[in-house]
Amino acid sequence: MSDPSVTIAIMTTGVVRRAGGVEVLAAVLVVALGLRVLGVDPLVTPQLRVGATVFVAVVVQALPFLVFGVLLSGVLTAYASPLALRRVLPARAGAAVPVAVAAGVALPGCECASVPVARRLIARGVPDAVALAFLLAAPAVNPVVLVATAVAFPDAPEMVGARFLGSFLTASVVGWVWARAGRAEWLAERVRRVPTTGDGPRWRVAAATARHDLVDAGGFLVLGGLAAAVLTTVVPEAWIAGLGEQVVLAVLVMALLGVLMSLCSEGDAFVAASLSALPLLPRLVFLVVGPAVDLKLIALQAGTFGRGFAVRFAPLTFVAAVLCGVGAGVLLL
Amino acid sequence: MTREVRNALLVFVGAVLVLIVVDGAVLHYVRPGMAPLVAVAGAVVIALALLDVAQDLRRRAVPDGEHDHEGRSAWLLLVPVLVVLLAAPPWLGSDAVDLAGSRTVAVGRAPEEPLPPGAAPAVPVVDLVARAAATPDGGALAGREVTLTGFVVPARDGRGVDLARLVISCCAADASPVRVHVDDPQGVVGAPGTGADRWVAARVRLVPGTATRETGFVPTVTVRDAVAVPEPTPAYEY
Repeated sequence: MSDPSVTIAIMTTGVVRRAGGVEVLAAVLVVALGLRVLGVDPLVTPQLRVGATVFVAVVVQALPFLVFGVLLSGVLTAYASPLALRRVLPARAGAAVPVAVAAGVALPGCECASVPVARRLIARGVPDAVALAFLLAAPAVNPVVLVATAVAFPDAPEMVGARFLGSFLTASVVGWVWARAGRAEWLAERVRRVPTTGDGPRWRVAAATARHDLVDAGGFLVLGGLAAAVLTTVVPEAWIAGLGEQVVLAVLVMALLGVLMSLCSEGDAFVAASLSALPLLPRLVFLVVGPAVDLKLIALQAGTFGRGFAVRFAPLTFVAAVLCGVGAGVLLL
Repeated sequence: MTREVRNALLVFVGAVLVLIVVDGAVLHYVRPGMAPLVAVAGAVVIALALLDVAQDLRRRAVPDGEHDHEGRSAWLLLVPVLVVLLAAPPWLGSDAVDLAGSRTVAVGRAPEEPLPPGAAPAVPVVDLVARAAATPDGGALAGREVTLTGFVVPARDGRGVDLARLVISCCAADASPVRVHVDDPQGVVGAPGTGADRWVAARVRLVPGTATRETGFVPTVTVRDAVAVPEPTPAYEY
């Protein structure tokens, strides 16, 4: 009990309980504004200056997509009946997985948008594996991402096809593996619960669901953004230098970088293209891994589906994405 | 977390999103095209919170003690609010160029259109680099004098200086530096800034055949004159 941070945490919780959250919130903001007025600049080192901008950038870039996603999930919960969804999808999960992946192609969302939507698909009775295949496909293989890839690699148009194939395979493989081996209890029990809003018009149910999902996912999005900002400012460049000749090592390093950097799927192709010292294959793996599993997504998924889910899903997706990315690259590059 | 607190928090988050669009700081973080989406997202977040508040007021119910299952993680939403209010993270500049090490921006397809007319037209740094890399003589740049605006950074080999800009393709997390090496024996461009970045507008001419794989697609230019300018808005190129 001598750890000061624990003591502070306990004291803070106590104060929060007694004072009420709203008062604490107001006090924190007043103090922050006061420090700003006094001209206190907390960004005293280059790493802090870059890290703060990158952190806010990740959050500001992701929030509109997350908001779009929670609105969609709200509408889905309020208006789409489980019966209608069952009619659209093939009855067997194995057959429904490719259908869900194809549906992801048509929905140009970002990874942050697809997490709450997948959650509400599950709540509406869509099999877990099918919803998860959709979750992986939507951000990775939609037209916007493919066009961005084509623009970033004007001299290597085969990257577009290879990225499409790699991501399509990743989503399908993870979906099938989950259909065979996944267990319902790995997902937090709250995922299947529809928020209690009492009776009321459907738009109110939609708003309540959206609000719920936003708060659930938002905090974890912030956590992911913090981690990404710290790691992009501290880690990468030394890792990449001198990797040009060692393809196996380069593939692994780029796969890890895809996880750490947490770039949005519409911009990552440009970063991959800028690493011109590397061969195409490791850069393709970076593009297949990043949208499927990165720090921001792991945090979002832990917040949405529970930690027990995230510790299983993230490694599975990582391995599948590396293998599918390498496979697609060997075939097409 | 009570619903009261949650709603207050959401209003703050939404307000910060709207505020950074209004005061223009949003361009420090994302492309200009995203700005309207950020503002709309902020408005939606505020509306979602206010709908709940309005419902409570109509019911005249006291929401105290009524807890949703939302955990403490929701408090994390306060972090970006505080960072923006307290620190107002600035444009990325030479700090980010240092951290990017040897990485330089991808050489995209060179612009097809001719250079703007006039003596020494203003050309984006990324545009000059793309044109210089596309053809050995620089295509439309051949023999032309152009004006580049960028901040001064030490050259990668430590000899002399480069002009640099940061290129954003999605958000500031993917900022990549783009550089032009300045052949400047007279030192008209001057030294890199200490503390804050030093921005200059320089009249330059491309040295043909210098943007190659060996130079990491960093072309060399000769410089005629250079004047100090304030940091442009936006400070990034796209």
